[in-house]
Amino acid sequence: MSSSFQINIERLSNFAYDTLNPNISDSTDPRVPIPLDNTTGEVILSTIRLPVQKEKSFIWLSATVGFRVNGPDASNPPAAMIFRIYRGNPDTGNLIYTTTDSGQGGAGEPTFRTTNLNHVDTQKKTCSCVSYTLTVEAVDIESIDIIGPITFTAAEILDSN
Amino acid sequence: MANPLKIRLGKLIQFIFDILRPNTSNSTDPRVPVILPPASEPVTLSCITVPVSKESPLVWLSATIGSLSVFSLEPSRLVFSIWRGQPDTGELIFSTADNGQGNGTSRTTTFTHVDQPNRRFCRKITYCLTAQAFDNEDNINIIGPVTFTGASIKN
Repeated sequence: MSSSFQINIERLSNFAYDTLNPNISDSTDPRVPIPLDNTTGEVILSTIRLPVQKEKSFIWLSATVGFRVNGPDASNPPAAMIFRIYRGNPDTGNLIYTTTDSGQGGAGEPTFRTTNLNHVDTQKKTCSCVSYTLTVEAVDIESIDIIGPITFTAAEILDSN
Repeated sequence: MANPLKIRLGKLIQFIFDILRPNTSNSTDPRVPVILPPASEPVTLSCITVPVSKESPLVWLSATIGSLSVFSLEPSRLVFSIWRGQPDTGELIFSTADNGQGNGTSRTTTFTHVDQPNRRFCRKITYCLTAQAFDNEDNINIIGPVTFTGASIKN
């Protein structure tokens, strides 16, 4: 039996993040605007890599995405924005989280929206580094622009047990 | 076999927060309601001062704001901003726009940002959260909750 002596002072063991620069609405970062319509399909917004410990831990993921709805307006059938988080990349990774938000708005003037997401990844780790990819897909929309901000964070929290 | 003494210092150095009391929708806290009339200037909702050091160069910020759009049938915009320093003299480090449309419509906006301030800065950084309404026909009221958190994190 191991007799190593370990002092855990805190449980936040690793933190990774990605933001636009500047991370503001209508950012001048060349990564935005990302125009979306019904033919665009799934688009990657952000990828982060997080070093992880050998011990059992949870990965707390959070993201904020700002977008502008140019149409349809509220009198038309609902439009949807599907946000997904993959462990790994969308082609070969595992889908671990999705949420759907409204893509409706815009009646002459555009509608501005902010979506925030939170998830905890509890999957057992297989290596010393894990990557996460945040994507968006627009469904039944006319025209939406991802304009910023885009924030994507991952925090490794050590399990207490 | 090795018998190592292992000391793990976590990466969360400080955690600072500001909330209404009670932090509820239509809170009785005297700080709300904050009225945003048409064509109004940005209003400060909350300021927090986060201790930072050379070894904690990241500040993870998050906020949640509850609002009520009284009467704005055309699209209007509610812009939330985070300033490093005071809004008039500081640096804009984050902003996001949410829908301000509605007719007695309640809405909750949540967002996160990570600030990497210049390390030559001082030992404490004040962050201020502001709200400003654009193109609203009637008032948009900040009614609670208002939550603003800052966690300084070692890189």
